[in-house]
Amino acid sequence: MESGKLHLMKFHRRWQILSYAEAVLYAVGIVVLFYLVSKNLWVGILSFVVSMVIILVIKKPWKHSLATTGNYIDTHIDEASFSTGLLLQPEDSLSNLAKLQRYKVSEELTKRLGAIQPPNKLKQAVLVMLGLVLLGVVVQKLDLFKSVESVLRNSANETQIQFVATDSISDKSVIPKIFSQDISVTYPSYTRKGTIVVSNPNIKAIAGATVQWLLEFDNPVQEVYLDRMGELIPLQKGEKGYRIQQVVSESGFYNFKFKNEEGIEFTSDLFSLEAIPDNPPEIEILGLEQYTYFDFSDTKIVELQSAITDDYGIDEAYIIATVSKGSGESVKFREEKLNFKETISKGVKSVKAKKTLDLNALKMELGDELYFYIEAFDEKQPKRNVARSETYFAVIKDTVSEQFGVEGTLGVDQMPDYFRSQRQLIIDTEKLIKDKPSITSKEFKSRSNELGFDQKALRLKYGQFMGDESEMEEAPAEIKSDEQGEDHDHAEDQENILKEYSHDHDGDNEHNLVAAEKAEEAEDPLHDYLHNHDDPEESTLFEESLKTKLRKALNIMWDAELHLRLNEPEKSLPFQYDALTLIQEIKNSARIYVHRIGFDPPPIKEENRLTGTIKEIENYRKNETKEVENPFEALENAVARLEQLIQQESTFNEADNALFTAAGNELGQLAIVNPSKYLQVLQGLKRIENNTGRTMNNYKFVQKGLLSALPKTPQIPGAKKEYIDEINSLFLKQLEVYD
Amino acid sequence: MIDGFSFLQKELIIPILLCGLVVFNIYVWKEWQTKQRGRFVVNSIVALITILALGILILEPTKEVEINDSQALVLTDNYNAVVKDSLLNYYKGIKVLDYNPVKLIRKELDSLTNVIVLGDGIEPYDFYLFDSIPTTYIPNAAPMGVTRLNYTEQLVLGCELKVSGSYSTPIEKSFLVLQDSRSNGLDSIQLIENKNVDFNLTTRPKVAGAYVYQLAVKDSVGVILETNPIPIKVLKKEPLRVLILNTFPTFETKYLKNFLAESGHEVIVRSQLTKGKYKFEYFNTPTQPVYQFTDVVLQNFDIVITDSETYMSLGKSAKSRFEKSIAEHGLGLFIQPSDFLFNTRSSDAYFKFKSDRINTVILPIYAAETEKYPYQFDEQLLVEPIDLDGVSNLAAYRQMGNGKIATTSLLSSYQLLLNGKSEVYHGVWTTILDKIAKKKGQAVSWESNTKIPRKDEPFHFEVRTNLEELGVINEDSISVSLVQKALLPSHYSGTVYPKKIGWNTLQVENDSTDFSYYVFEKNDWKALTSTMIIAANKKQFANETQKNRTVFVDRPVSQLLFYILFLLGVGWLWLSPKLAAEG
Repeated sequence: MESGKLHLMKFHRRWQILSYAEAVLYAVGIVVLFYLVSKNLWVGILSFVVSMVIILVIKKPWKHSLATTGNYIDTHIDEASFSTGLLLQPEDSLSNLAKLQRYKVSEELTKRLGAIQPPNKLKQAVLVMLGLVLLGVVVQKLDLFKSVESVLRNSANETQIQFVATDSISDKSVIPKIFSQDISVTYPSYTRKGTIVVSNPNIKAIAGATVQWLLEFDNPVQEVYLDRMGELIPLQKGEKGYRIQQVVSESGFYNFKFKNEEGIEFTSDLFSLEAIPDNPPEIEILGLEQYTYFDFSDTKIVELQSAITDDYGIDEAYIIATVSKGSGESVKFREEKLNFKETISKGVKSVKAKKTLDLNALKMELGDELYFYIEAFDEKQPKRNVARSETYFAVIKDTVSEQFGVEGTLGVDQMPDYFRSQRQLIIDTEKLIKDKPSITSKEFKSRSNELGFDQKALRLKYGQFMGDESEMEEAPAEIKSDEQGEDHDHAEDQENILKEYSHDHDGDNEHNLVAAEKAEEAEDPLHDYLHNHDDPEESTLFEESLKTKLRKALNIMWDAELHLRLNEPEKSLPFQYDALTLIQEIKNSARIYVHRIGFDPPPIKEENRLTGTIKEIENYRKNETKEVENPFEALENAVARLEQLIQQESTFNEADNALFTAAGNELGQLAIVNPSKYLQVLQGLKRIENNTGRTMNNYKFVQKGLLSALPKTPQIPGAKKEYIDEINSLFLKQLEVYD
Repeated sequence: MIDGFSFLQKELIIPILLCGLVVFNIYVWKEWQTKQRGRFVVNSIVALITILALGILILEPTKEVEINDSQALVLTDNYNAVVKDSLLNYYKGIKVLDYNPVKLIRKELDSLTNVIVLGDGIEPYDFYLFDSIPTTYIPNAAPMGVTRLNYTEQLVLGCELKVSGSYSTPIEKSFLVLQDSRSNGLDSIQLIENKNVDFNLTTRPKVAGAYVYQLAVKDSVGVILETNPIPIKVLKKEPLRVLILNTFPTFETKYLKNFLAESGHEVIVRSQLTKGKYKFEYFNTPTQPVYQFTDVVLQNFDIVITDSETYMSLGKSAKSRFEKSIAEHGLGLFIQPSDFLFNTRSSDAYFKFKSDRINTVILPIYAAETEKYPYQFDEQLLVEPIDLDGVSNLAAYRQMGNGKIATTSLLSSYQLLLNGKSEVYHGVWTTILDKIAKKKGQAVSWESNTKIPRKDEPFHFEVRTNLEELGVINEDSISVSLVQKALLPSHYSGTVYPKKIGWNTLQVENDSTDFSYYVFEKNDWKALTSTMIIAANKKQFANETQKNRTVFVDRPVSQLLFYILFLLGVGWLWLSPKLAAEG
């Protein structure tokens, strides 16, 4: 390549390098300015990159091509004769004249190009750079951005744990500083929040979370403690510094304490540790009346829609439905646990769940009631939080309701309901007689037989009162064979029912079997002391006259049953009436009437009244000292003392230390409930205590906080000091004269 | 005629006289030497006249002149410039004086025949300057701000601090906020209309001590426009010694005694078991049975609470000892009501009642309903009602000498306690017992007569004492001179000039009792001060005779005559030797 072109390219490169250099100079100026203003290396580097890019984009040094360089040379070197372009073209494509010119230009450029400089603003760039540097220096010297900077710094420092010496003399000694602090809050696993690294030492975390502090000091320290509400917990020394883990169970405060090598104690500010409780799930039932009533003909469907929310996640939710049947004493409950239509995935924070409750599917009948509520659990550990919704009701209206009543005159309702049945039997029998012409003989017989059975059942029940438990054996054989299967079943049923309510004295495993066997033979010696329900004659359920009556009634019932079984209801009816009469008599005789009488005290002799001797009555003395408890005494004294300090009536003395410590303890009690509200006041108090905040502003701040923390003054009477003026006394005396 | 003359340069008279004499003597001696006998006498006389004229020229003679048309306009704080201009226009040649309490204007005033005062007015302690000058006062309109203020300067803990006053021409919808010494808001009122508003703010201080509360004016968004200090002193209550006498134990007594004992008072309860036998209960006090009510025994107690049966059945001598203790030592007696009390018609009953057939009453502040006897107090001369939560006919006391006897028509007040309204119960009994409790003696009572003391301005105070000798010292232990009142030897008054802003104290010599007063800053309570000064000025200058006084003023005599005399004299003395030489 000929030297002309070579030079041209060199020139071109020089131009580009100069352009880049220009950009670098500008950028350096900006960097220095930014660095001096912000005093932060990173800001400087960032600004360098940014300004460099901006300037390069503006200048576009890479856009210089050889052609533009050629144009520039053409305009600035006369000898080039506007022919620099020829150098850039391939030699072969040129005419002879052009070749000649090319050669000439090439020769010329080789000579001349060293003399001219590519166009540049290097001087300007240097000046701008120097100007910016100067500006930076001036700004730094004058601290123009001091306030801005302090704001920036403070925000960084607030979260840094600072230590102060508790002993004010030790100012000279080196204060070990924390150069790295790591506070990480590990949430319980169920919250799915994992571990969060926080910068603010005032920690708010869910109860159960674990907080870990990792402190690294720049100077050797010893005896590093975490002071948590007066409880000193040592920090473990590890490779990287001091480490401690604490579980957040309740709100409180903490600070760190340590000693440096010289044994001087340092303490940090007070920080709050607030435990936020995991709230139980919230359940909302949407668009449902608390009571829903259905008629029998309605479609008995309850559409249950609910919204369940929890702060960390729902574990489980279901419906508890209870069906109640019957009323009064005979009410029965059936509880069922129903799941929602949707499956609730664990850990969902909010869910809308639906369920259609079909009352028919729940086998509910007239008069039955359904109570249901939703129960939801969250995932809290170790014990899940439970929330229950309000209870909702669905009722199927009963058109006919039975009234349950107790006879008012009876203290004890001795009479079982069965006594009513004899009357019912009579009514049914009369009805059967009346229906006889209109029904088939088979049905007539069957109904009569049924009535007979009912009569038997009634008799058996009365027999129980008599102690007739093996009544079945007395039944006539033919009837027994007639209705064998059915009767047996029923009788056994009856027996089974009875077993639950009676002493099984005649069972196989009678409690005093051996003794009883002996006694049977030898005139039972225990006879007088035992209730022997076995023997109807010995039954103590009813008194003697009643027993004979009842036995009579039972015998009559036998006859009534007999005729019913023989399909002769007409003949049975008189027996039934007799039985009813007897039963009525028994019922009435069992009623107990108590005559009401007042209390008639024995008469007192008039002459003896009010003549009792009081010799033995002594004076009574009781001495008691009640402590006046003022839980905020130190707080009150501290406020008064602070006022003196603020008014500069006196200076801080040793006695004040004790006072402010006591006040701090009292405020601490208040602050446990609401740490964030009182934390700063408490910190201020601590600062007064350890001589780092004995300034007017802090006094004022603390006093303000204490004043607002103090409760209302209780109303207590007391004496006032007053000067008693002679003139006033005279005046009062004179007034009395005119009264 | 010669009386009216004097010289301006009075101090130069003697040296000038001496100099003149010397010069004259030299002249006479020189003239004698030259032996111009013919003109010796004439020349000597001329020389004398010339020297005299020269002397007089230097001494500047004056002549007393009677004038009666010299006026001045005294401009005081906040004067209205428009009024000033029109006055200047109207009274041509009127002098304008700027009033400043620190700078004396007495000299200027001396030559004036009358004065117009414009603005807020003259400080009351400077009124004496205007004693002999007819003065017209053109008052300012009422200023904007607090123009009237009353507050409890000294109170006991548990009592209410009441701040009342009026605010003139407030900014609409601004707030007046009572704040404690660290600007926690305690009570406030919104000033809705922009005319005179009366306000009434209350709070119960929480802590004893001397505090400077603030009355702040805030606009509707809470920006503080102005604050003014309210210095208060909160004292502690002292525990009482209470004797309770009952014929039989009652629930009322039981709860009252518990309340008193738990608040730290010394309580002795004596309830009768049977004839001559009693049940004594001592709380916070050593065992010391009370059988007889002698003066000594009664003197030990601050309050005696007794049911009406016990008190009425006391013997005459016991009763009179009670009355003596009440009247002389200020014992407080509370009679627990019963039907018996309301139905006695005896002439020596302390209270008269009339039936009102109302069995319940509502205490409005707490909205608590409670039972009462169907009676109310009848008006009597020495019987004053005790205000219980805004109801004034439930309790009353009768002043008897230095002490008080009280009773109430409340029935079963302990039910308030049982209903959980202990605050009401405590409030009611605190009010009643505070009213009648024996006052603990104090040797000295102080009273400030200057409403708003300021630095370097006179602060007037009054002292009442039963001490034989009283000496008061200020903070620098310098004795303050007191004026004893001629008719009331126990009353003294004095004046001090406080040197610092804030709390200042005065102390009784050789005694611990001191009195602190707060010295306000220059800008505190501006409107209030202005209002007070305006009122004082209006009063002071209302009845002035408007006739101009006559003032004698020394006016300089024209010196031209002496100058001509001097020139002629000197001319003659120059000419005379020349004439003599020719002649």
